[in-house]
Formats: sequence, C-alpha cells, structure tokens
Amino acid sequence: MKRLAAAVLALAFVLTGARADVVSQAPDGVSVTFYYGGKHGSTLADLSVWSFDYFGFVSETRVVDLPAGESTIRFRGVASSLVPESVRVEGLPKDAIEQNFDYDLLSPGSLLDRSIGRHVHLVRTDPKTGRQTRQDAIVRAASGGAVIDIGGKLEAPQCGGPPERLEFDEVPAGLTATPTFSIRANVAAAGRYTLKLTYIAMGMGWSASYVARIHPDGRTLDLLGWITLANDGDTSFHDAPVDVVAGNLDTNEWDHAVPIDTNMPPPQCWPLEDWEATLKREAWLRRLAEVRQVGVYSSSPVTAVSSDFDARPLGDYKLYSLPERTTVAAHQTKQVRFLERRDVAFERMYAGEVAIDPDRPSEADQPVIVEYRMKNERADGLGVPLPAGTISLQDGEGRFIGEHTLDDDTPVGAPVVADAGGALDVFLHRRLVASQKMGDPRDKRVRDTFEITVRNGKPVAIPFALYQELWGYEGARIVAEDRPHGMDRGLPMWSFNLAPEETARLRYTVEYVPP
Amino acid sequence: MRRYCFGAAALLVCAAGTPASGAGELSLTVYNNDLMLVRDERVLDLPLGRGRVELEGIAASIRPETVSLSGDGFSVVEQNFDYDLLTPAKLMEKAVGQKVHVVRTNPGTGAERQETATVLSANSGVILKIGTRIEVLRDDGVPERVVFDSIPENLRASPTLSATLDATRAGPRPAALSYLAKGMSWSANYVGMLDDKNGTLGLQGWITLVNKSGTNFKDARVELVAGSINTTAGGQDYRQNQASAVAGSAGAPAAARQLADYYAYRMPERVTVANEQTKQVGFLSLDLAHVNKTYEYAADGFASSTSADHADVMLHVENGSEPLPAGALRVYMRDETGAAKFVGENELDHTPAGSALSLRLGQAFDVTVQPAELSSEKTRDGMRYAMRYTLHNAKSVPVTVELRQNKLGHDGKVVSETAPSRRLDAETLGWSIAVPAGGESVLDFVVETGG
Repeated sequence: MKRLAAAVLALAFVLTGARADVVSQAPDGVSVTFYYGGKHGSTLADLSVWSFDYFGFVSETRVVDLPAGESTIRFRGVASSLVPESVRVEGLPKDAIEQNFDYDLLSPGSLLDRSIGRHVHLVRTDPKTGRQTRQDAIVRAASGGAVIDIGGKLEAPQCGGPPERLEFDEVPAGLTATPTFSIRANVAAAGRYTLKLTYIAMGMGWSASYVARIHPDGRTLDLLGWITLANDGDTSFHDAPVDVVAGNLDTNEWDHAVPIDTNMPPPQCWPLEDWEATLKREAWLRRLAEVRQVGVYSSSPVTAVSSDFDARPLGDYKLYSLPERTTVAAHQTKQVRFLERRDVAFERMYAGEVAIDPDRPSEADQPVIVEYRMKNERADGLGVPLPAGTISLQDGEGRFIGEHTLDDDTPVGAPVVADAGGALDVFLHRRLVASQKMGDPRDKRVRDTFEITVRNGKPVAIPFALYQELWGYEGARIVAEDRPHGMDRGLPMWSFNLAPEETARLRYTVEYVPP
Repeated sequence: MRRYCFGAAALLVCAAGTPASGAGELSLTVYNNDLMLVRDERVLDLPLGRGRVELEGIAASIRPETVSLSGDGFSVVEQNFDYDLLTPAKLMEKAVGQKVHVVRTNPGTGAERQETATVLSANSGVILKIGTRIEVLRDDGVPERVVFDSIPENLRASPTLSATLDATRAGPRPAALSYLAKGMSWSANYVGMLDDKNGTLGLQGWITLVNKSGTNFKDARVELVAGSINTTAGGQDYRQNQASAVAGSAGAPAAARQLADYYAYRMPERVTVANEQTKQVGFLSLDLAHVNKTYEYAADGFASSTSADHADVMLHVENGSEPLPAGALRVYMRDETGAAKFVGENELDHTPAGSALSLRLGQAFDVTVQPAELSSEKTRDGMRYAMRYTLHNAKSVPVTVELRQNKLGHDGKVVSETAPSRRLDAETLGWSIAVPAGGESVLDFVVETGG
C-alpha cells in the first residue's frame, strides 16, 4: 500500500483542462470544538458517525498558492466523517463556485473496481519452487469478486485457492489516499491565500461528569467536574486547540457523514464446502462490529490534569476552551477536569412523592428518596454553569453512594438535585381517611382527604419534603390542609423537620374530577 | 468495453460509453425525492434493417419501464435492460450444463494438470463431471482453478441497455434516450454567519447533489425541481407525471407546462457528478440585515413541570430580494476570539423574496422558565386555572421572554394577571416578560376556559 500511496502523491499536481489543480495535503492548523446535541439520555456509548446526538466542529487553516483565474483546490486529509453541506470556506476574495466531497478512497476494493476493462497482471507462485509467472489479464468484473480475462479465458482469482495476486500498473485517476474535499474557486490575482475551512464532523462528542465528595461534617462537599471527549472518527487531530460547547442546540436528525466503505465486499465465489471459511468471515465481521461498539471505551482514557477553567458565552450557549493544545487521536477518549469547587454547601433532604390513585387509596411504605441538594450560587461555593451530565456521590470515606443523571443544563442560580436512591429507616404511609361527593348529582367533583404519616427511624434529625402529584386529574387542587403547602418543582409541597425517632402526621384534602 | 459486443445474432453496434463524447447532450432533471429524469442524446451508427445496440453509461438505478429511445429513421423492436452483475458465483451458475476447464496444481511438484469438466450443479458445492467421474470441486482442499471459455450473455460489469432496432437507412444519426432513475437527489443548504450584535446574517446557499445512481454523469446540464411533487406524489401519481415528462423529452412545451407549477432551478454551468459523489454548487450569497433574536417559551396547555425548561432561542430574518428554496440552514457565530462556531441548525421552508422567516436555533443555557399549575378547578361549564411561570435569567444582561399560553378553549378569559397579556389568537395569550440580569420574574395569572 505504501507504493500506491506514493503513486497517488505523484498525481497530486495535474491539470484538468485549462483549470489548475491545487492540492493542500494537510491542514496547516486545526482546532476542534466538541458538542453534545442536547438530546439527553443518550450516552457517549451511543456515539458513532451515525449518531446525531454528538458531533464536532472542525476549523482548519490551509495556506495555498493559487494561480489567477479558475482553479480546483483539493483539501486532503479532512475528517472522514465530514458533513459536506456544513462546509464553509473563508479567505477567498470571491466565493467558491462549487464544492465537492469525494470519498473515492484508495482501497483494494476501489482499486479493483476502477480497473475494470484495464490491463493488469496476474502473478502466480509455484508452491514447490517459489517461481513466479506473470500473465497479462483484463479485469472484467470487480464488485462481486474479481473476474479476469486471460487471453479470452475467464478466471476468478480470488476463488481458486492457489497463491495468486493481481498487479496493477497505475492507480486509476481520482482515487485518493485520504478523504478529499475540493472547491472550485476563481481569483483575480495569483498569490498565497490563507483559507479557513470549517465544517461539522460526526462521530465526535463530549459529556460532563461530576464527582461530589461529601465531607464528614455532612454539610459541605467538594465538587469536581470532568469533560470527557470522545473521537470515534478515523481522523486524529494533532496538537489542536480544543473547545467544548454546552447547551441544547437544534440539529437535524438526518445530518450524517457520507458513508465510507473501504472494505472490499467478500467475493461471491461459487459455493464451496468450506464452512470454516464462512464461519471465520462471520466471526471477523462480528468482531468488527464489537470493536466498533466498544470503540469509545477500548482505549484507556488519557487524563490531562488542569484546574478550573471558565465558561465563556457563545451566543446563548457556553464555551469551554481547554487551557492547552491537545491531540485527540482517532478512536480516543480523553478526560479533562474543568471544575473543582471546595466546600460547596448542600442539604440532605428526604423526599416522598404521592399521587392520586383511586385503585390504591391507602398505601404503606411509600418510597422516600435521599436527595443531595445544592444551590448553584456563589454564596454556597458554586455559582458556575453546570452542563448536563452524570454526578456520582461519594461519602466521607470515599465510598460510592449513588449516581444520578443531571439531564439538563443548570444555569447559575438554579437548584442542583442529585438523587442518591431510596432512604433507609424513613417510613411514609398514606391513608385515605375521607372521600366525599359534592352533593349536586351533576357535579362530578370529589374531595379526598389523605393522612400522611412519616416516621424518622434514624438517630438524627432529618428534613423531609412531601410532594403531591396532581397531574392527570382535571380540576385537581388542595382545598384544605393542616399545614400550609408551598410550590416546588411545579407541585404542592409540604416540608418539615423530623427529630430522631419522631413520627409526624399531615392531613390535606384534594378536590378533583375522577376520570 | 468492446468485449461485450460479440456474439449477438444479427449485427451489433457498440455505442460510445460516455454520452458526452461526440455530439451527445446529457441533461438531468433532478427532483428532491430520489428521482431523476435522464435525457441522453447519443449518436447511433446503424446498419440498414435490424440490428442490436448496446448502450453503456446507463444509471444502474434505472426504472426500465420508463425507457424511451427515439430518433430519426429507426424504430425500436425490443429493448432490454441487463444488469445481472458478473461475479464468480454467477459465472459458475450460468455454467451449469456447460464445459469448463479445471486446473489442478500438484502441491508436491507444482505441476499443473488441466482437465475439461461439465458442471452438473452449483447449489451448495459445485459438482463436476470429468470424463466418467463425478467430483465435488475442491472437496479435498487442494488448490484448483476453474477456467471459463466466455462470459455468458446478460452478465455485465456495468449497467447496459440493449435494444433491437429497425433502421430505414444506414449511417450515423442522433438518438434521444430518456428514462427515469433513482439514486440522484438534491437539496438546498445554507450556511449562515450570524452577527447578533449588529443583527446581520451572511448567507451562502448551496445546491447539494448526491449521486448514488451507480453511474458517472459527465458534463451534464442539470435542472432541479422543487415543490409539492416531492411530498404528495405516491408511486402511481408520479408515474403519470413521469409519463408526460418522458413524452415531452424532446423539449415539447408539455414538459415545461408540467414543471411550471413547481420551482425549477437550472444550474448555470455543466456539471460532472461522479458516482458516489456529493457535489455542491453555490447558487446564492447575500447579506441579510434586520436579523432579530428573541427568547420564547410556548406553554402547551396548563400543566406543571417538575424542572425548569430552557427558553427557545429564535432567529427572525427578513428575507430580501432572493427566493430561498427549502433546505437546512446551519448557523455559525464568532466566539470572543473571532473563531467561527456552530450554534444550531434548522429547516427552512420555501421562502419567497420579501417575506420573513423564523427559525429556532436551540435553547438558552441561562434563560429558564418553571411552569407551575397552582390550582385547577372545575367550574360550571369549564375550567379555572391558576398558573405561575417563574422566569430565571443567569445572563449578565437583561432579557425579554415572549411567553405564550395556548388552549384557552371557547370563551377563554383572563380573570387576573400580574402583567398585561395580548390576545395572539382566540385561544392563545402572549406576554412579554422582562427578566433582569441574574434575576427572576414571576408571572401569575388566572384564566377561565369555556367548555
């Protein structure tokens, strides 16, 4: 393949008609920006050139010498997962006339395919003596397995079994070693131009993850934030300034990279009793699929140690620039710390949620969730934009005590709630104590009175919040209560503290129209 | 290519593989739902009477039933589209009952021995009859080559249209070939550089052609058709359109009339689109002023949300002198260092010149709205809702959020509100709520909706 690559380079400067061909072999500078598409709930494991949840934005600097008049500028080495419609070229006095994205990559398959009708050579090796014979042949068919014509007789060299290979005299024009984007441009004056090529590339993305280390005092925690960059593409970005953008951008679901299939399809040989080979091929294809699936995880993450770096505004999104240039290699995952806040105030809250349920009017042992609540305020030790991501909680001794997905971006001033799972020793019972109709038979409304019992079985005092879900019932409202409710998360909420071993009761009446 | 010109019964003519060579004119009319009309002029050198022509360079994705070949002084007796791909397996299948040659190499000595065999079957394993012996090919795993004498008819390495023609005179003459094919599609795409401080959008428009037809088209005149044809036409409807377009392939006014109901864009220059190529041709470059960004929140019905929602970032653009065909608009913006960054994309409808367009870029990180239904109550003939929307702005500048509440139903009326509303339509209320930098605003209202 090395020899073929050299042949391609030799073809780099060619003239097509009167139009000059200018080749830019590689970017002179590149920067990459990683995005998440804002469709939360997907994870970096879903990342592929087919996923539109994540993508990258590549900005390349290319210095080219252009002749006066019209020329075709070929940009070699662009990311293979480039979305052609997204390309913008800056730096030309006149706008580009035409853009082309060719992914006619030089591969064994494309080499054979483009050689149909051409003269090639079939080389056979004598298995005993090692002596080689070389015969002229013409390629007759390629895509379903090679069929070659030797002096009017036809053979399928990939199907016979004896050691034989094809030799080609030249690389068919148009096949390139790297993905190529080309533009046709027209400039009045010859000279050196610095062009900026920007485009969207699929198969790249990032996500945020947080680690909250709770201090033994039970009131403060240290919050660390990590940016995980993933590049599942085939293109490496060397020594590049890297940015990530947080925010929910609109993207087209049908944006995708042009599929690149450099694998030669297996030859459709005549049937053989060679199950082993078939099984081998299938196993190989399965392996390929597995590699692709776990690609994001297969390489060990590189951890670049860095301190806090601040978000800058980008329109209505947040832009984080990594403090140093870095190399994001193909199929690599990389983690960078972007946030470290010490002594962030938090509150451990025990929360229960009850709904109207005519089928189960009374229920014992309703779930109670332990929530770690922070306020994203400077006064509480935070006050920074927090992109959506997962947060894992560790107790004072470093034990993992739960993980929660913050599935939305948290602006400054908003609450951060990490749900660590069910609480032990806190018991919540709901009992329907009265159910009344309104009197007028045409009036469909009912009034249900519930009694909530909460018992704190812990040896410490705890704060407790009860949420009443009203959703799904027409005209639902609280009409009577023995302590006033507030509104939180869009729901009526009662909160109170419970002393060790205390049992508290709450009674309220909900009016609603049963379905 | 000449290889396939042997063996036909009568006289056989090999037409030039590339239609553009010679006097041929190639034109493509591309619709944006995976359909194109190919009009391909070729020079056919025909003998007098019956003869067969083979035309290569046909789209592999051709719909053979739509082929029309016409010209001066000949008529079509029969036409076939052959694209049974030549593969080793097909070669063997077609050799059943025929003679092939089997070459065996002695692994010890390297000596070759050739025998003639008849292929008895090629189902799961190839059964050969060599002399009086019946054998399974490569049963012992020893390398064996099979040599075939010829390519069976109809097996091709490239799509080929063959026709039997009856010519009333001999000699070369132009012929018009037209057919419908799939695999070619086009779309309009825009890249816009947004300057939200000065309210401008630098718009570049590109026509993207994607060729997956299996064939290269060289120096073609390309016309693009957009319009309702794309979405409403089912298979049957479409065929009618196609039929008339094909009938008018010689440039009859019928075709033009058909197209008059749609947007048609003609590419200014001839285009070469290789197979599997994505080609973009610039068709528009303009700077739009009067670009306005707003924050919007549209509440759909009366409900609480357990978490705050981010406000939509909307871009409102007044289109100037150029009509914009529907397509995806990708918006870029410069960050503080001047580097371009992607900030969102959305679909643009067909936008006539002089009209306005609105498009959602995404959601604001720092502007949120928390809806809470304080209460809902069944009234005598409807509902009474008490709603609270808590708006939060973490930006360093004040913002105004356009908040909308729909589903007011019949006789919907406002009972009380903490900010004045506008009636956007009979069932929708709108408020413009200013939210201070780093602060909060609360909108409370009570509405009654009729039954």
